[in-house]
Amino acid sequence: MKQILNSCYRFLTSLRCAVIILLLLAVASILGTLLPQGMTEEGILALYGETSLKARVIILLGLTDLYHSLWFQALIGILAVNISLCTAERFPKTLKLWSHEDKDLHPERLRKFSNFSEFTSQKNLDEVTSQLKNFFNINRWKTLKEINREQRWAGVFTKGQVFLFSVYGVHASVLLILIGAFAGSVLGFKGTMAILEGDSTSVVNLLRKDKIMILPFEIRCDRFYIQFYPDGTPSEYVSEVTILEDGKEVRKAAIKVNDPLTYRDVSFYQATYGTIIKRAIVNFTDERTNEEIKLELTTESEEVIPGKNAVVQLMDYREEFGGFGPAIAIGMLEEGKEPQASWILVKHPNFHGNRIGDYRVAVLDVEPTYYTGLQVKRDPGVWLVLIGFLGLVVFILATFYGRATKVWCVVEETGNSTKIHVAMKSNKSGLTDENFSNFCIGIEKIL
Amino acid sequence: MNSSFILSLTTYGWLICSILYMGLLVFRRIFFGKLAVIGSIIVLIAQLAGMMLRWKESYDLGIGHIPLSNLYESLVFGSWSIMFVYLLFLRKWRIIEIGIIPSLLAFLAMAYASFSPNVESRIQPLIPALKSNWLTAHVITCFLGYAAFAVSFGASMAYIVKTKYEDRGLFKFIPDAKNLDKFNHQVIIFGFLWLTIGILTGAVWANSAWGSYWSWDPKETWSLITWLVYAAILHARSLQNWSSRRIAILSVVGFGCVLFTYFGVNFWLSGLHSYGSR
Repeated sequence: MKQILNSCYRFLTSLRCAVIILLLLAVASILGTLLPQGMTEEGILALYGETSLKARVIILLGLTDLYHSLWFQALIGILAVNISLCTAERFPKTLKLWSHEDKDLHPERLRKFSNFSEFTSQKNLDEVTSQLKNFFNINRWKTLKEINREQRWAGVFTKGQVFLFSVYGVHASVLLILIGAFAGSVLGFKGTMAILEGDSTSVVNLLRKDKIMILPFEIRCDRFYIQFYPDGTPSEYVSEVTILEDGKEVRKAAIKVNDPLTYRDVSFYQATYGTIIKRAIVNFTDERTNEEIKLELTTESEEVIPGKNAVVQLMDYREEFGGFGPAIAIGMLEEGKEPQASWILVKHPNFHGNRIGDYRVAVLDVEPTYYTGLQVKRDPGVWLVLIGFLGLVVFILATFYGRATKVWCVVEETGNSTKIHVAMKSNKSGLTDENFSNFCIGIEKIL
Repeated sequence: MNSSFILSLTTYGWLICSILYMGLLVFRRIFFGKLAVIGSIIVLIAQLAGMMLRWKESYDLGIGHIPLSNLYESLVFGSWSIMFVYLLFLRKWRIIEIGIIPSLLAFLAMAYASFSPNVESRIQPLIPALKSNWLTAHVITCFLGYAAFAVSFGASMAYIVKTKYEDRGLFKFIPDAKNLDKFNHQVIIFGFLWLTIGILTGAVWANSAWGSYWSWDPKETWSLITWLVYAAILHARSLQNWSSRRIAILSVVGFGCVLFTYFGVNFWLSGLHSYGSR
């Protein structure tokens, strides 16, 4: 048992585990884009058939809401654990590397480095040493350590040692983003609101839950309108709204796409819009008698057709009905007959289908009302996420383009000449060689 | 002399360049390579001029916006970025022999933009969703990332071919595999950085426009898939028993994800980015 736990831990702290999880997350995400997301169980059964294995697997694994399913979240959780454990394992080693002090330095040790070079100078030890120190100073090297011995001087110099830690910054940023996302999903909410022009509400329909939420204030939609370009395409969707606290107007604002309103930590975004109809003035022509009756219909109540045993009511409205422009739906109940309903085209009064029962119907006037669809959210985790984003970019830059370099330098006086040994090591092996040759040219110049 | 004319000329420009890069491989005369690079620089400048002119034309129409708003404009900018990134790396790395791949990709992107009936090349006004300062940052950074991955795809293909056929025929001239592997790593790092910035600018934009920095929209998700694949590549490089060949193959897979993010999602899946489809 202990062995199994041990090997599990070993695996979780390994780079191999990181690569596998990243690829697994990629495959799982692909699956989520290929299957319809956000469908109900009934919808899935209807789509694939009641008895199909595919439908059962999809429902069992929560593939219709894959990104919020337990196993997908667990995969992200394992990634977070892997990042944390890797950091815990490796950070002390990096710290050691960063603060490592060489007790003593000999030329033999330096010779083992791949980037090693030696020079000879006719000047004496002190002169060479002071010139070297000067050289390191001018070129912005930090002095980590100096060792003065009889006839020998050694120095360790560093540049950009802080970059040793940038990879931890990248991983910390990823964790911060995950923590922020988690905080947002637990502490915040996301939902929608549909408000008719002139109405006010404080009810938010929460997304992905069949719940509502009541805001501590009301929002009223004063006006919704669409602006158009000269060629007829929409250029702007605008909701003019007012915030009401206990019935008092406290703030007016215009919400546009890309231009939300934030009030008391809750943000409102322009998402959709639609129209409903409240009133229509309709002309009924009785086909048997050619008698014309003008009625004002509403969605709230039914109207009696005078002198006939029939009631009619306005049922629905579409702004665009099959390419023929707006249409209204009228329902009719005649005594002794089945109820019937019919779509009437507003812009084509002579259309042969504009009829219901024994009546030809023409729409004289409609008064559609816009409603605006707002996305509403409160997300206390968003700041963590944004800081994480910034950190991710900065630290990726630092990780891949920042270099931590260490130079060891030993100067020995032998007889009447001085020998200088230098070695260099950096965390970017590929780029060190060229750097080192430039560095050596610099040293040669001063000697 | 309008922008469409200049941009259709650059289509042929990239074709000529790719023929010259091919000539370098076939005849093994560096003369072709030099000609190809000079040609590439000229076409790159011409294409930039074409894009600038299109920008100005949109203002003349009274619907001024940067030409990065629909499929046609992004294809043009995409082909430009591929060659821009390639030439940027050419200064430091001896990779003139793989020029055939980025130049061919640039040509194909331009040819598709210019000749496909599905691509609307008229200047259209910006839809409300795109009216944001984030548009420029988001599109440019994403495409720099994609372009680097296209160049990496070229290096990976060259690596796979080189290790398989060593010095036979055409492939004799391809630089040595070790150098290609190093170059591939550098260009993937570059791409990964820009793709990261691209995804994050998109997320910040989404947060300020619809109130959600991440909504698992198909294109968003596919860009994350691409990011995950390249993140896996960058980690796998440090694994002891992962060969460079495996890295090269995974880079080709990664570029497949880029292509699917850009084309596949528009054609087969729908979502927030559907305005990029026509």
